Amino acid sequence: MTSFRTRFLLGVGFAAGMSAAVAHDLWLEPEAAGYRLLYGHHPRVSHEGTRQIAYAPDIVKSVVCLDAAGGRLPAKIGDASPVKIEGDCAVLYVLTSSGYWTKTTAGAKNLKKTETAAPLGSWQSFESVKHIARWGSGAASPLAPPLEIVPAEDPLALKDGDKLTLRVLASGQPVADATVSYDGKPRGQTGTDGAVNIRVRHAGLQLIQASTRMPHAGPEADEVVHTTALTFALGAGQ
Amino acid sequence: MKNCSLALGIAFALAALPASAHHGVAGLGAASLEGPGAPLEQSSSATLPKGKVFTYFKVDYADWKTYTPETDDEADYSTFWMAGLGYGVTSWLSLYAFLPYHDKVDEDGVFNTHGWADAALNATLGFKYDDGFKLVPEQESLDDLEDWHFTVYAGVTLPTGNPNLRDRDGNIDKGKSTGFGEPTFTLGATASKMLGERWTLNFDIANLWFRENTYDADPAHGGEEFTGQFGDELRINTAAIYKAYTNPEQRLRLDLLGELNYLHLGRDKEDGVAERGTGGHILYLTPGVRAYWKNMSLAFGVKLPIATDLNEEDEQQGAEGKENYRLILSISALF
Repeated sequence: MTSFRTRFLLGVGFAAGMSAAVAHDLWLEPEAAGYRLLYGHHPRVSHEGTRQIAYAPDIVKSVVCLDAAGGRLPAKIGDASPVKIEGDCAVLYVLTSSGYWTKTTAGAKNLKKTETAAPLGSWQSFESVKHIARWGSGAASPLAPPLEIVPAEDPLALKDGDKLTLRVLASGQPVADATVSYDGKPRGQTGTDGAVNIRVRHAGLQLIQASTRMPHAGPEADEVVHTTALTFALGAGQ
Repeated sequence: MKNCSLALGIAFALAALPASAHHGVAGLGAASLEGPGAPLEQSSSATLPKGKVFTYFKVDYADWKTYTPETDDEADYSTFWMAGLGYGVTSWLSLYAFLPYHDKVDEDGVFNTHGWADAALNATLGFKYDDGFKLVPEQESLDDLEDWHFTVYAGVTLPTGNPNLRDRDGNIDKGKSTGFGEPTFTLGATASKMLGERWTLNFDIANLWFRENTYDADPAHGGEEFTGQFGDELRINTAAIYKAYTNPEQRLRLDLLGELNYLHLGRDKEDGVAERGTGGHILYLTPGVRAYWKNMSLAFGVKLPIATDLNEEDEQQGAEGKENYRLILSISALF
């Protein structure tokens, strides 16, 4: 079974300086005619084994389904948890947000900073994932969402041990100093051009993630934390 | 007698370079605790990040074998101090300046010498192989750091030390002086490779050339000036570094390292004539440890001569290769 996921921060994650142990994953699992959006622990990142956690379907903010040439395709988005996305997508991009999170002495609360009495820290959380099933201009070109990872070459042609050049873009613009991870482990930071090189180390699902932190514009939170993922499958295990 | 004073200046400047490795100095972002290790007594294939300032301090304590049981004028121990400053001009070009201070003590303490030695300048050019040779880029991921990395470096010492230190009879002892009197020149090259997540291999080759210096007149030379030229030095080093422990939350890392350091010393010359009791071949074994904490690095090692082939060995007391041991401690930080 192929599955692909992105780390679901639940507001808290590596980029926020918190322990990875408290972070969760968001991933897409293929099924007939589409995918299921799952949330919890994925064994590629977590040693605790697969564990799914229920989530509110309204965390899904947008879905983009493209054919290989970059043409938009319709995608049917379910309204139950876990969310089902139906469509023959060469490229599938899903943006989610679990909203505002505030760290308090009683733990992290899914509330705005302005809604808590003694906030220790707060952030607005976004998570996204881009899956490439077939290479083409649709996968090679930026989609210009809030945050994405764009490969500079066909990742599906890679062999175990090859390096892949990626760019991390926010609304189509390069993001510098974004931490980029492979299978949940930080491997580097982007340069001023948003680029970083990552080596693939196994067949099957490839999970590459990038995180950014930026100041929040309003009083609701201190920061905006966004984690995005690029997934694709190589060789055996596809 | 060519003693360890020959190493003053540039040799220790070169030894200083490994710790300058920017991959060897913790605190450079997410990759800092997972990058390649750095050796202790040789140069690594690393350059400083662009715009970063590197500070360095090192102590090398050499305990000399003595040939006689009496407390006489044999060399007892020497301490070589080194302060260094580096700057990353670009990601592939680093410049360094080093200022050594030497303290050389005899058994009887009659003719001990100490003082600032010859300052050293060094330029290091870094490049790598990744689908072809290229200069080290500004940003490298851990996966980039696993590629072969190389440097070529060149150094020169400035005659800031005193080459004319005299014993109680007024004779100049070239070996116990704190300067060469003339600039020396170094060319070297390194290669480094990470093997998996824990191992790093390092290779380093360098040659040091001395120029002939005209020394002041002294009684031993009939009240006339004389010339002296130390023999060239060839160093071939290799190191294996093992990342033994990391604590990302504390930004702490501990490496174990082992080095083999080969040194060939040419014969010294005085007034153009080769001198006895100088030159030879030495192989050192240097086990050590290196700890990283945030932007600092602390390294310690013991350098042991495990094989020597010295010319007229019985005349080389106090020379390189005749140590009981050397204790090496370095501290470095990157800002």
